[in-house]
Amino acid sequence: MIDDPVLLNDWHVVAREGDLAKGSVAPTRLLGVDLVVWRGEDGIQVWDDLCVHRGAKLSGGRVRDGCIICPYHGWTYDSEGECVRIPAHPDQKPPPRAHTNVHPVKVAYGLVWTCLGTPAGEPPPYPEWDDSAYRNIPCGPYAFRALGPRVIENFLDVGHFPFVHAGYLGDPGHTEIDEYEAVITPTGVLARDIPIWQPDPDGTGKSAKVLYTYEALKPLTARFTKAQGEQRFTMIDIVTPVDGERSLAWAIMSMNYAFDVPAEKIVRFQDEVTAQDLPIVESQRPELLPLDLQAELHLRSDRTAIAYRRWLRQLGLRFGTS
Amino acid sequence: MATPDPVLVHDWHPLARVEDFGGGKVVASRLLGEDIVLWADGGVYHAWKDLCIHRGARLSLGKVKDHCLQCPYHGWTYNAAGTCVRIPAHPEQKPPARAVVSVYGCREAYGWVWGCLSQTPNELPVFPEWTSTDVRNFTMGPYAMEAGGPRIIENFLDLAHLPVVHEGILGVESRAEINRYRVEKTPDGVYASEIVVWQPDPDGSGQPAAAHHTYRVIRPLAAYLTKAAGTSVFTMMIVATPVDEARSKAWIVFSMKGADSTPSQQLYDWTERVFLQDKPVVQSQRPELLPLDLQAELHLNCDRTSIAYRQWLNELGVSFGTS
Repeated sequence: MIDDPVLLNDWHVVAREGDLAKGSVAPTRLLGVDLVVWRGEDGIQVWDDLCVHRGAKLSGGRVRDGCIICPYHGWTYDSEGECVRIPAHPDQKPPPRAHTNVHPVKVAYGLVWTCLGTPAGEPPPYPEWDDSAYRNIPCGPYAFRALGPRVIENFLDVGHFPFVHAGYLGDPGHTEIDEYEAVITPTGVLARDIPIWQPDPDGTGKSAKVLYTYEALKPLTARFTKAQGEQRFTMIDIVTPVDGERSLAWAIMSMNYAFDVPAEKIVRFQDEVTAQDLPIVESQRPELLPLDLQAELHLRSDRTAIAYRRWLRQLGLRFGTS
Repeated sequence: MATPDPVLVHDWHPLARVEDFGGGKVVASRLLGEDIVLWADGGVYHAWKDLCIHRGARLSLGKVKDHCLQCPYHGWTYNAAGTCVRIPAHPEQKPPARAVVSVYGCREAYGWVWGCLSQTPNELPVFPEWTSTDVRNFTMGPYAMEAGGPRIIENFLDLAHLPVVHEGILGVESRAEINRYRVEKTPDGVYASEIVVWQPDPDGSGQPAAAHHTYRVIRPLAAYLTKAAGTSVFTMMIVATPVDEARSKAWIVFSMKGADSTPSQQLYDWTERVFLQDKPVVQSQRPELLPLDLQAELHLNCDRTSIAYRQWLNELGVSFGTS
């Protein structure tokens, strides 16, 4: 297990609720811990993916009568994680140690969240989800062979648009970034109204100058809103720290316009944008984001990244940083 | 060697099949974390450390020539004793005395080429049916496993998984109970007997029967099963070669006495099918290293063979693949 108190006691996304039909079982991994996610009669469960008998992965098993059955010897665990049946000894009461670690579960924004430690706080706020003015479009999860702080910092970065996303989110003829401020607030980082010229800010095909407002809500969760007149395009990026090498980025886009554009088209656009970021972010060295600001070079256009690194240091985040 | 094991270094481990050496092929292998080159010349097999002392190149990329093994990098040529006899860059110069490779024990049995890292090897695991005239013998494998050897052997000895992992073949869910059976631990290994399991297809012949099992652990990574069901007797030996602590190669030799009307291919397919049912479960087991501390996992009556196995490994002092 990756020992970072900040992340251990926080909520992380391990699945999409819609992917978990009743009776489904799936393996996943969070902070280096193998987990099984399954749905029985009593809702969605997230447990350590380990049968204490012989260490087999429960995710290879199946769900029956509201229980999960280990694939190896059929030890049967109820929704509390207690072994209630051992087929080789059907008349014997299973020993008290025959249970697995059960983790708390929350469902929010169509995502399944869990916490490996003692939950401090709630999943990040995302008011657009319940706002009827918006259409919500989930995308991802995007698998990165990179760690969360690098992924989030890239999400907060505006200077790379004309290069990595030329023709999509930026234009090589408009590379200059105007002055903007980024501040650390009691809840995270805020960089308001950064003007950006974009050839196609929202996948609808029309160029415009838009104002980006970025917020880091959690060490590994950030959002932005692009404003263009009354139009708002918001995206939240929630990064799951899979282990010491890999991350999964779950995203939701929310728009109060362009309701006639098919969701698939908007998702495809975002998939392409992420595919442009992926090789760059995976190539970044050191893999651990240096919180010492002397370690890399920072310009005026990097103010959000500077504030993000300072904030991570204040929080005491160890994972994915140096 | 990264993690020498005081017990397993003296054991024989299968490293390749005889047919792998066709056309003078040189074979790369790995045993107990040590890279090994295997080569054959005139029916004699050689197992050496896979390293030319000159620049550390792998001899397994080289070739057999004039009863010698030639390094792929600068052509240093080693004779069957592992002594360098020729350095092409200096053909007149007698190779230095240090130009030798580490030579390991090597021999052939059951169509497999076995290696031993020690000069004082233990006995080779014996599969008695191999020389019987009234049985059909088969060999299978090697199967590459992302699992430590002790986990593989323990699974072979395990009874309670039969009606679960092999449901419909080696057991039925409605009759999953395991009755008390006999287990003995001797200095030579573990012996479990008086095990009767009702099985829909105990040996591939397709005849349901109460199958009488006897298990014998011969070496830390070799175990033997006799199963009498109806009029046939099925025997099997599994040997796990410890590649690294959590990677192995599984080798199987089995025999069938009786069931004469069952085609050999059917018996082979049945055995392979059963083995491949076990593979993903064994590979999923955590921790990868078998815990010899009996408090670390849970043990029930049905697990007495594996309890004895873990105790025996502990007494022998096997450390590779255990914790």
